Amino acid sequence: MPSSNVRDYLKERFGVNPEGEFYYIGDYWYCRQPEEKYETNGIRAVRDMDIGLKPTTYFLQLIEDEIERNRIDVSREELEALIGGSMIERELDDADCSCGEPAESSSSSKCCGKGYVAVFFEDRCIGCGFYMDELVSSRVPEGRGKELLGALGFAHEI
Amino acid sequence: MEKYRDIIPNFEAFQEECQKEPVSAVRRNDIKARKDFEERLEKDFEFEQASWNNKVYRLKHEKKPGKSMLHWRGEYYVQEESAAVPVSVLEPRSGDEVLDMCSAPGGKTTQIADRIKNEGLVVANEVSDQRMKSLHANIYRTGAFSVNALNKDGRRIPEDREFDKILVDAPCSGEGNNCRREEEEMASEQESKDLANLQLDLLEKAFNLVKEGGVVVYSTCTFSPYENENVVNQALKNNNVELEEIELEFNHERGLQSYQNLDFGEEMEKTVRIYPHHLRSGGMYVAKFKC
Repeated sequence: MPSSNVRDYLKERFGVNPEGEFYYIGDYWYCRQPEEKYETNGIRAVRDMDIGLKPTTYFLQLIEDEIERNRIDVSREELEALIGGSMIERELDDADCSCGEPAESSSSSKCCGKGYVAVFFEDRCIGCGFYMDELVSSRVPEGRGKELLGALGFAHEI
Repeated sequence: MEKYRDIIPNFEAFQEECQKEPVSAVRRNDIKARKDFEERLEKDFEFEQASWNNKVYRLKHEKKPGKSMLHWRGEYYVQEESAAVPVSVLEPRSGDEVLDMCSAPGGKTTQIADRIKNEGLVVANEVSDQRMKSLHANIYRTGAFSVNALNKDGRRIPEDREFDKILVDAPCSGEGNNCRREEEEMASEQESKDLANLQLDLLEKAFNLVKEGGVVVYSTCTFSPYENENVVNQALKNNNVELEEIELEFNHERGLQSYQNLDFGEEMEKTVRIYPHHLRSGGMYVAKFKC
């Protein structure tokens, strides 16, 4: 798989153009000097799924300073709800996608923004979320989410 | 630890420290840390910065340094203060190609990636399948994307690439961390001597993998001279390498010139021993080779 696919996706969805290399082996790995002989090359950056590309939580954290679009800032309560498995309401003002579907609640031709977003809390990227129909859900891996709730002192468990 | 009374200066201070809990320390990871790192760290912990390394923070009265959002995000790595020394001695720079031969769980690997600002290459090798998991988790969490992981016996790493710098943080009897435990939990002298054979093999493999003029740093977290000065002395005798003097900006001891009936020579003064009372941390031995 050419790395131009992933670069185009990241540019379009998040407005980023990372300087490292992308190495395709099932998914896209972000690295410096990839070689087949290694068990892993850098970090898994973007998953290649049947439904399309999905950035990993670790990768979004790494490129957080460059993210220009599809960023969702959440409060402490919203973060707890999201990581706990609930959805939160949000309208994206800076949505930019190529899905071609207009927003249902709007009479304008503005794009619906459906797709993956970067979730931020207190100006720090927490990880990946999914936006659709003005609702955001978490895509932070369950185990990592549980660790985060513990680290933030929430008694809540997933 | 009585067996080391004759080789550890200020043995009373050493013994006293071994009775205490070590001070928790964390190392800031500038790959992920934001500009307001210290301000945020202060909200979670009471801390002081280590005088010799401004990325190392001693946490006062803290027993759970891994429980914070900063840690979750990889903005810091929980690491004993003395464990940060070998990479400081290695001095990796942006653009370097570095091998960490015995890398799990990845504290020193991620420290190297941070030092080179993810510009260059870090090959992190680990022999244990099980320990690869913790290595991967720490590479991802800290954003160390310049790290490629290799799962091999360090003695069998293919010699198809040469490195600028190599860290051999060798498997050891761990007395530096275990001094706070009961005497019966310690490795025997024979176990220590057996480990020394593996340590020497790993060190000599590193000499084959390093570029001419490159640097190899050998470290252990044990006090046993069999695993430290004796290994280094054997390596010097068998190979065309030399020791480079290590300078440290905190209290420490120089390597031993002899132990029991073994004579290691004056060269060992170039190596260093860090005891628990020096940094209120674990013990460490470090030697630096110019190849």
